[in-house]
Amino acid sequence: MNDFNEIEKFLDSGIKESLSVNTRDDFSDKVMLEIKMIQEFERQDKKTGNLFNAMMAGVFTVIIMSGVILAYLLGISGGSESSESFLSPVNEFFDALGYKLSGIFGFAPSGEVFMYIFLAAAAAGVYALIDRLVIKRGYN
Amino acid sequence: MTEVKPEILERIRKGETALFREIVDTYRNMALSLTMKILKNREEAEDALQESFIKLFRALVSNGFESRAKFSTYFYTIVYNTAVDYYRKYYSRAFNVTSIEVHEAYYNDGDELTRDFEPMIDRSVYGEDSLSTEKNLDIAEVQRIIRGYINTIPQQYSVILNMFFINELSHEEISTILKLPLGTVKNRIFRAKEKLKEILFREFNKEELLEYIKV
Repeated sequence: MNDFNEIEKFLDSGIKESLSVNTRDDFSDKVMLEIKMIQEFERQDKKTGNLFNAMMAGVFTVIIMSGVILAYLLGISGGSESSESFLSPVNEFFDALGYKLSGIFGFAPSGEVFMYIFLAAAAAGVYALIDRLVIKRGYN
Repeated sequence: MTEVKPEILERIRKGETALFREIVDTYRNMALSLTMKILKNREEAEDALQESFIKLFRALVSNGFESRAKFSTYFYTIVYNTAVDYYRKYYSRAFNVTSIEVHEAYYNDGDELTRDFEPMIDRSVYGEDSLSTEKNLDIAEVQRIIRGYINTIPQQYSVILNMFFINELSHEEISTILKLPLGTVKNRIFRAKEKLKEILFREFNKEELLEYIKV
């Protein structure tokens, strides 16, 4: 090997040696511990997220069911006189609500309007749920 | 060249977290050397490196790393960018690897390489008469000079030298990570070595040095 190559080799090893540093002995332990903690936090977050989703689903199910029941009750109230006694509290409630609203807005919405409002709320709830479960998850 | 086997990466991706330690153990010293060149402080350098490993882990488990890419290039890109972010946070200014500031009126090309190194010699850090060609070659002194030179050259050089010699990245990979022209990368490595050669031959007898090297 000629002088030039010898010098190059010597310089390279000298530079390497000068640049080298070592981490503390417990460095790997610290990294692995942090990873373990991150995973644990993520597991907890997932659990909380699932619980929240279940609660949201429960709330929206109640809203939807209420809407369906209300629609059913309003539907049969128009066709059958025998159910009037059963429906009277519902009708009275809407009458009272309509009276209050007419005082505020100058008109009284019918039971159907309330049903549409319920359906709109249910649709918004379902959208919010889908958004949380499907769309946003897709971005992560 | 140290490269992690794709099977290891795949197993980590599938949930064998403990295997990640293998990667940490393999790369920690080489990567710390890089963060040290940027941050110049062990605490900050280790913090930046720890965060780099966490980022790498997250990327592996979330399929952020494509197995077609070269692992070491991907990893050192994370390490470099994280260290640069830390630098910006601690020093409240951007890390400049591109240009070298020159203020001296009598600046000669290459002076920036020994700007902080020459005063060390003047202050007789290496001993009053240690740097004499008359004196017998003391190899410990040679090594101290190389170390002193490497530790005082501007970061624009030391980061590249580190990537080349310690991280074992190619010129092209360094150029990609630092977003510097390939020619600049090659030129800085060449100039840094030439200047070191010049210093050693100025301070020591060339024949003696060569004789020692050959042994």
